[in-house]
Amino acid sequence: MKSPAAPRWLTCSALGLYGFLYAPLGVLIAFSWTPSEYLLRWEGLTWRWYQALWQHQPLQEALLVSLTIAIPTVVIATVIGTLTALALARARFPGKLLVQGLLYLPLIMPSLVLGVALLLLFVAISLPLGVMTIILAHVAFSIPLTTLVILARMQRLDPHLEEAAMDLGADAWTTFWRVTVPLLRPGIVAAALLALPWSLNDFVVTFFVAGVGSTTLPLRIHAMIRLGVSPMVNALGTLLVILPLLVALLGTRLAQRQV
Amino acid sequence: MVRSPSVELVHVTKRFADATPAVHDLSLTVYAGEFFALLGPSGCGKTTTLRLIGGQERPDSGEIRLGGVAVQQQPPYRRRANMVFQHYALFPHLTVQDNVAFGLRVQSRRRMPGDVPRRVQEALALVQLAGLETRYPHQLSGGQQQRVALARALVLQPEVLLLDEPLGALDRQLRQTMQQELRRIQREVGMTFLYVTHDQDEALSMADRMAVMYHGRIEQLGTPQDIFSRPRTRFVAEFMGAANIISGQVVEQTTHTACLTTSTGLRILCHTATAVPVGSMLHLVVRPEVIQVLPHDWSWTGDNLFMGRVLDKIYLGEHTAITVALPGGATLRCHLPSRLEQQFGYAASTLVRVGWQAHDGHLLHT
Repeated sequence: MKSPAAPRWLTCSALGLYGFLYAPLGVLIAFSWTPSEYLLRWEGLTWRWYQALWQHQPLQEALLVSLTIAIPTVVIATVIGTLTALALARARFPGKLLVQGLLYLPLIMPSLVLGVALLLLFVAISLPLGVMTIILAHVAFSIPLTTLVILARMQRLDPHLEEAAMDLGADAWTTFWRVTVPLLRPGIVAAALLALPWSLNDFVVTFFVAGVGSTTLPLRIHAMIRLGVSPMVNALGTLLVILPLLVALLGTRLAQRQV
Repeated sequence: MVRSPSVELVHVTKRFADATPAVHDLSLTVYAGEFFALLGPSGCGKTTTLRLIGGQERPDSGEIRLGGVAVQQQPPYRRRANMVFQHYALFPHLTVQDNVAFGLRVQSRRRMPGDVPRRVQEALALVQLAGLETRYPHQLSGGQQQRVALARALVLQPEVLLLDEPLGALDRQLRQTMQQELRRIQREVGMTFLYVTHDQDEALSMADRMAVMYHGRIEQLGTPQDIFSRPRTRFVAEFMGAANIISGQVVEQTTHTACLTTSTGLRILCHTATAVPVGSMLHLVVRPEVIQVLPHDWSWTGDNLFMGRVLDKIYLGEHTAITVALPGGATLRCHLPSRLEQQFGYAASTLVRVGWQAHDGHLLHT
């Protein structure tokens, strides 16, 4: 059966919406290929800014710092998220609704508030600001995200599957590793893939809790732009759009292969 | 032959959050090698009973024994009872082969010696699924998934196999094939099967013995023949599809026969094995298929004969259900073979003669 054609106004507004969303990205990507020193002047194609990026020590160092923070953040937030989701979906305990409500709060709380609050906390307990404090801060705002994604997957799981595993002779531990985790894998992968860019992107919270020697990529770019914008930033922006996209696509494919 | 008990429930009670217990002081013995059906409407506690045996639920009080050993404190993974779940609960991330091998693999260190691949093959052959080892559950039909669920439990050779409405999700024709298959498999392996269903025909056609449950208790336990033709309580009689329950007072009793009069003034003869006191109120069950419905001018020598008018007629395929209004207001539901009914062609308000023999009626104990 052929679906009826969408009305013209619907097509137009959809195109307009996508244009609004993606036009800035298009501009960014296009101008990363032009040799002009000034932004927004088209002078032909070049690899120049990508080469400059390749040799730019401060940006590479910043990327390394960002990854040093993002990878542990994703691992910790995904593990804690899985366990929290498990508790919320399966266990019955007093104050469960409160815990669930408090979990959503950081999602709607302004990053500014979270950043200031974390800074005050770290200063109060005299924790030196640096990579460690940034990881703690990123874990804090990633947990609600990973928990919610994994919880959504868990609520669609048939609880009889775990019952069946126990019935067939698997104890709680074996059931968890051989049935629950494999079935949750798509959710766990999705949660990790969402948490990764959250950590890599974050500027506001990181800005408050960063210390000397822990300048992440967003902080570095911000510093560079204050001194005048180099088209190298366009090139970097292009890479930062395309690479996560590839990772996400790959992740989705992997997740779909299971189940 | 002395039959050894396979599953024993002794005064088992299970209460959920609500006040009325789901299973109430239930005692039941299922013998080794028996095909036992637990029949009842939804909410009667039959599935809870099964889950108590499987260990998915713990009883509040009472004892549960498997092969003579009390197990009510054991977790499900230590019990030699395996469940075939209503919606199969096959592991979607594992192949047929790995689903069936699951139990053997997780238990191998404890008590499942032997060759896993060979036993998986045997189990799959038993349920006639050889050749589908590498498929995933979502690539199988409902009937095939059902067989995998069966093989997955059978391969562990449990003391008892617990089946929770296993055919509920299948269409009618497949259900009948699977009923025969289940009986064949049960006979072949000689294992105890405890089968929960709400379908009377399924219980009647498959079980060696069966129990009808209602409100967490067993209403009646016996062979299918017993329960079908000699229901003990009003509930069992109604649940087994005996629509005619007539209440009356005993006015006369001779050897093996009692005479009742109903509030609408009918005099009914009924066979009785035990003495019933004159003057007592009793309930009489007359199954719809034992009642003859004849044109009013035909003669017939039944023990109980009444004139009545056809109220309603429903074609049921093999049978046609006719509701007949008797003088005084009582109604009788009668099942006539459709072929016969078509010869008479009863229309609404036709005058008919209905009748049955005294030994076709059956007195309820309560």
